[in-house]
Amino acid sequence: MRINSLAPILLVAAIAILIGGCAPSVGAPGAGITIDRAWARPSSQVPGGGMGGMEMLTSAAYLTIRNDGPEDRLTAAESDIAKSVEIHETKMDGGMATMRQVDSIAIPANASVDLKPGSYHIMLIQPVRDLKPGDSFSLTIVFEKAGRLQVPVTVQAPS
Amino acid sequence: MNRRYILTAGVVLALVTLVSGGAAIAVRSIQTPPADFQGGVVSPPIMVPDVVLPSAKGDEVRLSDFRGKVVLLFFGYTNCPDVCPTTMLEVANVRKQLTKEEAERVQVVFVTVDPERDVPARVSQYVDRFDPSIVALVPVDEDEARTVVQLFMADFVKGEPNAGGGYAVAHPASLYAIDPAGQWRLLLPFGMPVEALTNDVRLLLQESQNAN
Repeated sequence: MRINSLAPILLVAAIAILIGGCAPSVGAPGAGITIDRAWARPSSQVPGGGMGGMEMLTSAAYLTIRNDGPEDRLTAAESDIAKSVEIHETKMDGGMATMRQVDSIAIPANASVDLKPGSYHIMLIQPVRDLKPGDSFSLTIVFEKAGRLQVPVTVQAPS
Repeated sequence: MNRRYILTAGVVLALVTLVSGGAAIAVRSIQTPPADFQGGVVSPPIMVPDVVLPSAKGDEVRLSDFRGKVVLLFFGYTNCPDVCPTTMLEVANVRKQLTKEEAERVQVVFVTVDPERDVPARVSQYVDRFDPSIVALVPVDEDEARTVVQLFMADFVKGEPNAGGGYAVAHPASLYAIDPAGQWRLLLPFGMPVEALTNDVRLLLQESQNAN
């Protein structure tokens, strides 16, 4: 599937979001991938970065990927909300939390994969502006087969 | 079978409370006997040595300053976008679940394991975002941080620098619960629901109330 052929689908999705207000899910119907509950942590400037300067706290975005189609892989995440956007995984190893960057996440056929605290997450390094609860921004997630999917992400403090 | 035994024990305990003069609260106690600790129990409890560290506000803090309170101790760092903010939100929510009187007897303490980047003003602002009552402690260097972490039979590991020059720190994922007598009693693992954390904190508070 060429990227261009996704444009009408994204347009329809965008219109659906506008009509539906805070739409809970975004999908590429043809590819069988649906995204739910996309949220990110708040961020603001804190002292740091050396020389008595200030820098933005790293944020993380989370979402649920539902795949009703064939096996796929999440291979990248992009957004202009942060200087750098990386896919990371937290693992618990003997009571220690370790975090490492991953190249991709396997999305099995007919299954859901949660990007959630303590597991996979999309790291937003050096956000370019304050992220306050209620704000939203656009995140593009890229799948090997399903292509690019634009997801609206809402900033919230999880309860 | 175990479950029934525990339930029976709870009712008996409640009855004892009733007989010994807790009449006003006892009816509720019989209907809902206190649950057991849901976190890991440190048995026997370990008396925590009197750790003295600089706080992010600039004063010197001793863990023994918090005698009479339940201390929830966490080792993390402000560049940690996943486990640390999750845990800090959880403990903030635990305090919200408690009554005002109970919450005043719970002290959350955040110790940074990344003193190189975590300058005091940074850590101070970081914890305030979650709950301004949280005390942030900033060891002078990595060695001092390690000495404290190792008191709890844990450790941390600074990761290799990434492309942007930043690094992650592998750190203990649990909360350490210290009772009002200064004894390390519970290991509360990452992912414990707020209700379960609140339950355990309440049990530690009630226990010390009953002892007085």
